[in-house]
Amino acid sequence: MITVLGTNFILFFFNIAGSNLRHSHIYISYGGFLERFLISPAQHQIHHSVATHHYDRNFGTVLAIWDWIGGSLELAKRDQALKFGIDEKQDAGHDLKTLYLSPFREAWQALLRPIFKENRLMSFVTFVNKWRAARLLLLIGLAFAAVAGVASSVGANELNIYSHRQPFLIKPFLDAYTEKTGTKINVVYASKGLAQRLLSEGDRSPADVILTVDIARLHVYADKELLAPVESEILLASVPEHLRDPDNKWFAFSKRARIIAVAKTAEDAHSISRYEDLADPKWKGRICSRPGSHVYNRALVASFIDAVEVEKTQEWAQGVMDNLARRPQGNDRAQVKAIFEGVCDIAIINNYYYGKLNTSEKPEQREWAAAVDLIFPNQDDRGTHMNISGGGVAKHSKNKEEAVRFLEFLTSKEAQELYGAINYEYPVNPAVPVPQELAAWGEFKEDQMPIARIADLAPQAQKVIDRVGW
Amino acid sequence: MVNTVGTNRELPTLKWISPWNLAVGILAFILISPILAVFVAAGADSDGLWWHLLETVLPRYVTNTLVLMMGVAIVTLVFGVTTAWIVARYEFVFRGPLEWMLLLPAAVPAYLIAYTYTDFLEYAGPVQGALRQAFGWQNARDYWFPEIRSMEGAVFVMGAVLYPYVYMMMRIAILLTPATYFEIAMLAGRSKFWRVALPLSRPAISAGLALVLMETISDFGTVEYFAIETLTLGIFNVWLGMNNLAAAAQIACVAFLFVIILLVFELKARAHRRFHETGRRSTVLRRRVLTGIPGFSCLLICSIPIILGFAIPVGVLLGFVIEGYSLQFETEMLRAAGNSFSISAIVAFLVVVSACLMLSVTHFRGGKFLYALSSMASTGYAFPGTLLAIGVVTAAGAIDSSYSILVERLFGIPSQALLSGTIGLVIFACVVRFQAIGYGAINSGLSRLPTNLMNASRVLGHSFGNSLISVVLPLIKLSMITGGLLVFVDVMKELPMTLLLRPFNFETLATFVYQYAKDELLEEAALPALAIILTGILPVFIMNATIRRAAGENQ
Repeated sequence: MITVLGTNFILFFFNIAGSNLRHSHIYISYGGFLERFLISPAQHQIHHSVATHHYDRNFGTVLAIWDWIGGSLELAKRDQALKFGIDEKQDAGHDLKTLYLSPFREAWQALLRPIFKENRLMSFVTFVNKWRAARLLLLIGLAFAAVAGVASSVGANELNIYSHRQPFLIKPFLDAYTEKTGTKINVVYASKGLAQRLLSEGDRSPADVILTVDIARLHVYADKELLAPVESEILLASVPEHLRDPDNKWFAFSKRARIIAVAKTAEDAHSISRYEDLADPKWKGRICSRPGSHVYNRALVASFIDAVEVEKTQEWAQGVMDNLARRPQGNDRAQVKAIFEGVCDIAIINNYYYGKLNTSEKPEQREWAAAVDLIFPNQDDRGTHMNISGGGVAKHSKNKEEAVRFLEFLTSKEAQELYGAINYEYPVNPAVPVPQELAAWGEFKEDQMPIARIADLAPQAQKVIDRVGW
Repeated sequence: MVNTVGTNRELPTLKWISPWNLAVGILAFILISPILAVFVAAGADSDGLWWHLLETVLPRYVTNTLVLMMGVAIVTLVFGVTTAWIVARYEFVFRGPLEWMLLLPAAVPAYLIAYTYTDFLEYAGPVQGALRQAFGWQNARDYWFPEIRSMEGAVFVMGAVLYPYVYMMMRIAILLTPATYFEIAMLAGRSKFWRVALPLSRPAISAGLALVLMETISDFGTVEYFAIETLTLGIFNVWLGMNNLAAAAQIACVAFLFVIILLVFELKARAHRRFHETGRRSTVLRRRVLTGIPGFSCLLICSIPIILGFAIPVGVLLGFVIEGYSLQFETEMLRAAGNSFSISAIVAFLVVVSACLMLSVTHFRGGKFLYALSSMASTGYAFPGTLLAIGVVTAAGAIDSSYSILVERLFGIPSQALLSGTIGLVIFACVVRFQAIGYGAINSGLSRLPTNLMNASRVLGHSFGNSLISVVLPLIKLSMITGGLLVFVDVMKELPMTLLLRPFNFETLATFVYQYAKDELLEEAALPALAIILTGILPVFIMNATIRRAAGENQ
């Protein structure tokens, strides 16, 4: 900013241009247009005029727009002959109390009383009526700008997170981190569209960290180049290679197994040992599923494409589709419930839903969980399909060091154990043991396919799902 | 309507844009910009995905959407029109309370009613449980029970909460119809309902129905929960599943154009009719007193929609709270309620002001282009909320970057985002989306005013603005309040846009509920969910009191 003699140049020229002469008799007008925005000396002289029609005019010191909006603006006239001071008749007393209180009393009389006394809406209408429409519009515009102008100011030692994961699920992690480092964490949670928001915010974006609940969304961020590559020995050491981006732009923090739940009562269904078995016509009318286009099913289909190609995958999906007991609906929790209700005997679910039902506060949910046995499929070949939740550092983060530190925290022993304790998810860090509750369901072989492949194949998987109408 | 004086008739008049027209033009353009942004997104390459979609899912999406729209239209018309006519025409026990209680379902978000009905009607719910106990059935294979998660279920739950739009608009239209018209019908031996009330309420009914259909086509929560494959569900599958925003935006634009065509069709159909009141204000129709069986059946007919759309969902939620599944009341929830309330109030105010401005200027000053522009500006409702939010975010991003370039060039200081990530953006998005509601309500009020009114005021020497404020606005006060309160209730329920556009750590009741409802854990958020509904009751009550007072003035 340019300064002249230690003051802002705009202010300097404004004062030079006559503001200093406002309390003199020298006539300086800025012309009709400018006088609607800036108070000229001639206008301020009107403010001090004794003439009755000049009462309560031109209150502004620098800006005239407030007078304009409020209807107290008076433009300077070339031939104005003014007498300054106050009228001799107006002698209201000069004690301190009167000076302080009279403005309030007068304002009350002028403005508020009629509103309270008369029909409110009509007095508002007449009140509005006195204003020129243009001024009204200006006021509305200013009000809008004022609301919009409340920018989200962000302190230095704060971390901003865009999260696809529900607040109540990540809060324990954030609290633990804040307690450890003193960093305040701000969160925006939305399930869809955050990538577009980040994209359109560009380099002005306040986001530091992105957290997602599945690989597909994480991949979208990487795809649109919204993530910064992270160089961290800690992250490389604690996240296995197939669970992170080859360019180190994103990392998995927890794993979920996509497993098969079968009714305890259905003896024959316990023979299922592979996902492939679900397409067997002998299960006709006995399988329940959530819609195929849900990310978890889509990821499973993508892993199939990786293992057996598109055509075989489609045959399999068609087979599962033909075996469904009812139209695909509800989430994985609802599938377990359907087994309990006897609608079907077999369902594909994410492991943590079982964990949550099993330890639910509601007795009936524990009953649902008790009605099923779990099968970890494909133990003799590629292993059970795994999903991840993960995250990365925003490309335009202003606080990258802190962001990386937060990611590192999420792979630490403390946080990795939290994943298991809160949401029955498996830790990614090989150094952290699987929590007891989860280990009790059985040890199993995981599908080790690089998780990035799943994201690559997701569009193809969706096409397969569309074709079979799952 | 410019006052030209005869003396200089031979001089060519200078054509200039009046500040009013300019203001409306700019306002309409600002409101259209997010819609334009969606179209721009649709302009990108969709990688030949259309062929795949056409071959596989699109026909199903379109059929389902059409069936859903038809079904919801029928349900809302039946519920809305019959109840509006009954409470306006007959006097029976509990008519007074029923009159405003019929509006209550408007306060229930569609995603909540879908959830509560599933809980109510599913296998483990009270209805089937009672049936099993009564008939000794063992499990689901022993008997047949209608599946709530189906097309019929979706039609039913959406119709049950959307009919108040039709009811509301129709009722005001009947109230504003002078009794003389009905008397003439009686003298001529014609039906008062078919020959007078229905034809004269047509603009109002179609305005209400348009809102219902736009809401239906853009709904995501209910169709996702019920797994009905509509266009909107398809949009999200394409966008998130195939990672193709362009193709998703294209489907949305097709759906959008579909709605526009529908609206234009209706507009053309009544283009040559006038709905002005030509005479002086006269009395409204006196209600006929019904007792005994007829009175009771009126009571029954009017209470059905209330029970279905309000009592049952609220009862289920209350049940969750009483059983102690819900989170306890905390300050966090209170703050969320405060946020919901203030955002709703601000948006309602802005929508009414902007809709009044656009409509009055186009109505009294004419101009086909301006009319088209302002109608376009009130179609944001036809887009799924999330997609419109993407449009808003894109438009805001463009504004922000030009602003920051300006600031950085002029003053050499880095600028913060002006819009992105502020509450202003949420408000802007809601104004764009819910413009249709305010616009529809005010339009149906304004189309009843003869243009002569304005001419008379102008001839008597008042400026356009003065005439607007002192003559026109008081006459459409009723429509303004109706529109404003409907917007208020709708913003209270609004979810996807607030979710995506809000600033850090900012919760409304709806976003608070959503984080639980997303995982089908609504029980835990039953208390804030109830709060959404209860906050919606207050404006509903005010709305009714105003209508009643207006009706009283007429009598």
